[in-house]
Amino acid sequence: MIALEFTTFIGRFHPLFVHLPIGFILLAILLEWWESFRRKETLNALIPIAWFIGGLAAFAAALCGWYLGETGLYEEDKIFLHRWLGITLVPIAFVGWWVKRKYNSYHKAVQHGFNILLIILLSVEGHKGANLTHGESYLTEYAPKPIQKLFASKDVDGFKLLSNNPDSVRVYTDLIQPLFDAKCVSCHGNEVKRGGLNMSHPDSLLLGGDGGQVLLIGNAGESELFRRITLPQNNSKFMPPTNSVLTYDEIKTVEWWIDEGASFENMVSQVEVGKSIKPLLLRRFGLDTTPRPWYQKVQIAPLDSTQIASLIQEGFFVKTFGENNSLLDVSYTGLDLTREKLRALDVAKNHITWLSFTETNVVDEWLSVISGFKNLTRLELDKTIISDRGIVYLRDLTHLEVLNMYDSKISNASLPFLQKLPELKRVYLSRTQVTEDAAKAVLGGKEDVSFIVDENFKN
Amino acid sequence: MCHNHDDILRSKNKDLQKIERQMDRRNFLTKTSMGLGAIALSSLLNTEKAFASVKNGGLDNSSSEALLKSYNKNRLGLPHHLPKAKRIVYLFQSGGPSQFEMWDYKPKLKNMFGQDLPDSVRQGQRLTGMSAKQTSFPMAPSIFDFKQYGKTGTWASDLLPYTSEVVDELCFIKSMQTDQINHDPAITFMQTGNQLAGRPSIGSWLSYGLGSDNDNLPTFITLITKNMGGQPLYSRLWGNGFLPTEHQGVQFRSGKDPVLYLSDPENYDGTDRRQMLNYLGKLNEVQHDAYGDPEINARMAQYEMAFRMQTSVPEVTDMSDEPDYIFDMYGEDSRDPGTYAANCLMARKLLEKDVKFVQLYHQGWDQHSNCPGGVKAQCLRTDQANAALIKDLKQRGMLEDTLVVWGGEFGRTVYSQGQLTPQNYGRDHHPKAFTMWMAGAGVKDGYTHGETDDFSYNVIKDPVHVHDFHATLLHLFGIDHERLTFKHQGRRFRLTDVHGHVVKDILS
Repeated sequence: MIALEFTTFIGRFHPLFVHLPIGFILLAILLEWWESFRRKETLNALIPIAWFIGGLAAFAAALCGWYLGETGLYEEDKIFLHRWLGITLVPIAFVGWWVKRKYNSYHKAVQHGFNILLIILLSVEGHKGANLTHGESYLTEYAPKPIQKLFASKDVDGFKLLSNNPDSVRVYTDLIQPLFDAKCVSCHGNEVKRGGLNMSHPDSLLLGGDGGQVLLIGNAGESELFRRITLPQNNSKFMPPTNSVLTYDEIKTVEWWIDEGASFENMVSQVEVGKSIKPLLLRRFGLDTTPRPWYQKVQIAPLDSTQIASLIQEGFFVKTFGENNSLLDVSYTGLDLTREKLRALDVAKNHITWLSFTETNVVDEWLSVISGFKNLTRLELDKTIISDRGIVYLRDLTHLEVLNMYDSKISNASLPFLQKLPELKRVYLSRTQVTEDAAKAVLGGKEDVSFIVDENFKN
Repeated sequence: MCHNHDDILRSKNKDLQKIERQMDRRNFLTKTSMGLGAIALSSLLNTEKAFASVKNGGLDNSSSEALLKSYNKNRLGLPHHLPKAKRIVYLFQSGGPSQFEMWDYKPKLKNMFGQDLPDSVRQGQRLTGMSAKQTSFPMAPSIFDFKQYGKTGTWASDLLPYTSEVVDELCFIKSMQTDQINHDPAITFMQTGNQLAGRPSIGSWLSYGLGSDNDNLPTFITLITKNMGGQPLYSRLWGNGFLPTEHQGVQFRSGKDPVLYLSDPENYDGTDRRQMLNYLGKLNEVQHDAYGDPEINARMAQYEMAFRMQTSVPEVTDMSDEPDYIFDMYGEDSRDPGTYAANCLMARKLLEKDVKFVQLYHQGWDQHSNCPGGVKAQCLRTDQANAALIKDLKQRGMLEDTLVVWGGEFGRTVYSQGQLTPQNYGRDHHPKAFTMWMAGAGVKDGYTHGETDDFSYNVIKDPVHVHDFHATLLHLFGIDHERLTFKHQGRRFRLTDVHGHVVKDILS
């Protein structure tokens, strides 16, 4: 560690030296051009001296710079060009001294070409170095608007989610990985693996670094990765050591991800969203993780208005759900329902989510029409003569949540069937042949579906 | 029956003839453009309108009826977002029910019997003229015992043997607050969003915003418990304010004529009424074309509604098909039309017919003196029916999309108005804290929102202002309270005016 500390000490002299070669060599070039403008036949003796001292200073700057780069305070991919350009400058400066040592020993074009090359190299190198210290936007931050536009840097805020539906956003791929990519992978990636850690891939991340595992699954507080990003910033082990430290939101997101199992596959909706992370996900990513029923999650193109009109013409009452929801609430009243009218609903079979045939003349067989209504969540068949034979047609309604069979002909025989409907939550069964005891027996204490039946409600 | 009405109406008045010619041109354009092209075009402009025109224009030849229907339909493109509630029954308890005797259990008060209300609690709050001059404000704990009920362990007093059975279905707001301390402004505030009379009531806003789900009954119906004294109720509480008149609440009365002036006069069989209304409609159309007054449309809509109500109202108010166990559940009172229990049962029947807003009023909650006896008597009249309504709606699956709201215009004070004895006390009006409950569509069941201090005087957690309540109510119906507006006297008005936040915590 002593050696490292000493080299770091040397490294810190880099800013002291960097400006010297720029000054010396620029002075030499300007002097040379001035003399050639004055058409002097002799070369000022100062010029080769300036080149030589410039070369020495470039060497000192490169040496210090190398050690400064080794401290890890700078991102590997940003430092690369600056480092090697700086090292290249050292021999070129000495070549310059050699070329300028004797006047007229080389052709004028070579002389001037060399000068121009040096100016370009120095400018690029100096700018790269300044960017590392001051940040890339330093120079143009207060520039007039048109200039700013010319140099507009890419949006650093790369967290633009394609979807704001917790069902289609993966915790790792969409929330965590972009963060790692932006702030960690430049030093802990495929090319550079500082500390032996490669965070660019789940497998390599799980392997950990030289010091062992960096993730303790389910326990962020004990995970090395989390410890490093939450250390005091002046601690030498604090990560990332560059300017791009993790924000509070990002730290909390990482903590949540590790605490909830550090899964690389899970969708946001599959992970428990605690009280503290919930508002953060909403604010930072626009992810509303409040549990929502199916009819609020379905994204579907709206039904053509002439098709809705055709339903209304058949006597259906159609209600829409507002601006952001294309599903429909359809009902029928009266005793003149026919199978043909029901077939008209087929154009809206993916759109109807609430459907009511309360107090209509609907019969068992007609329910085959609605068996493919995949987004149906609420079905009202109360006060009808629907019996167990009709219930069978509901078997494919995998999103059905509420079924109202109040005052119908349904019996205990349908209960085991209903219990198997995956999303069914509430079934209204009063004033039918269903008995309270049978309902209790079928459920066997399970709570995911409730049969609401009260035998006091009699026929 | 005469047939001279079948010809097109032509006026002998020169001015009107001029208008009629214009009208003919308009008719021509309307009729020739009535086709899919028109639907397509109007669907570009406003989808809701397009549906209405198909339903009405396509199926109905009677022009006045078509006009009425399209008029009644939702023209605003609402809802804004997915509605959880389709109907509401608002059980308004007029007078200011005491939260101390029913829901807001304050055990610490037991040890403070007779002590003066600390100034730190009252904080200089202005009192009503009825108790402001009292030399002391002795605190009066409720004489009734409280127990915990249901899976949620909700505290309820012994006065509520029935409602306490259904507490797991209810969503309590114990932190209601209002701006008003006297009955009339407070009720007007609760029902219209402003203390001054003249604004539309909640039901009118809903009718205006969402239209009707049942063409044969009014969208907004009011029922008032009969023979109750107490603070008066005025029809402006269910009035339409500046909204078109057909959105006002229609009061159903107990007795022979639930709706006044609906039955046929003696010796008239009503067979040619349809013809009469058609002709009247034409006359009114001429008038409307001449003056463009929207109230003429409203009047036509009301005539047509009254016509259909001649059959629909006797049908829906007929209690004979209700089985005995239903009457038993609602209580013996429910067999006596016009009582609170009978009104609750009636409310359920109206809701079953998709009436959007049923507003009950029950007076007599103003216990300035004899609070224990008064509240006890009121609970006897209402407790069983409230619970029965919840159970009834629940069994029918109607709590899925029906909202039940119970509450008054303000609460009552912790200190006794008048003399405090161990057995008796009075309570004055208190606007800074009172309890309401809701149930059904879109609100959490078995949930209590907000808290009051040990004196039920100040709200210490999650206050819900009347404006917030209104905003939440509209939200449940899919309406953004900031976007349902009506321009009147040069500015756009809302139910919540410039206030109100949706209480997200109570939404399920």
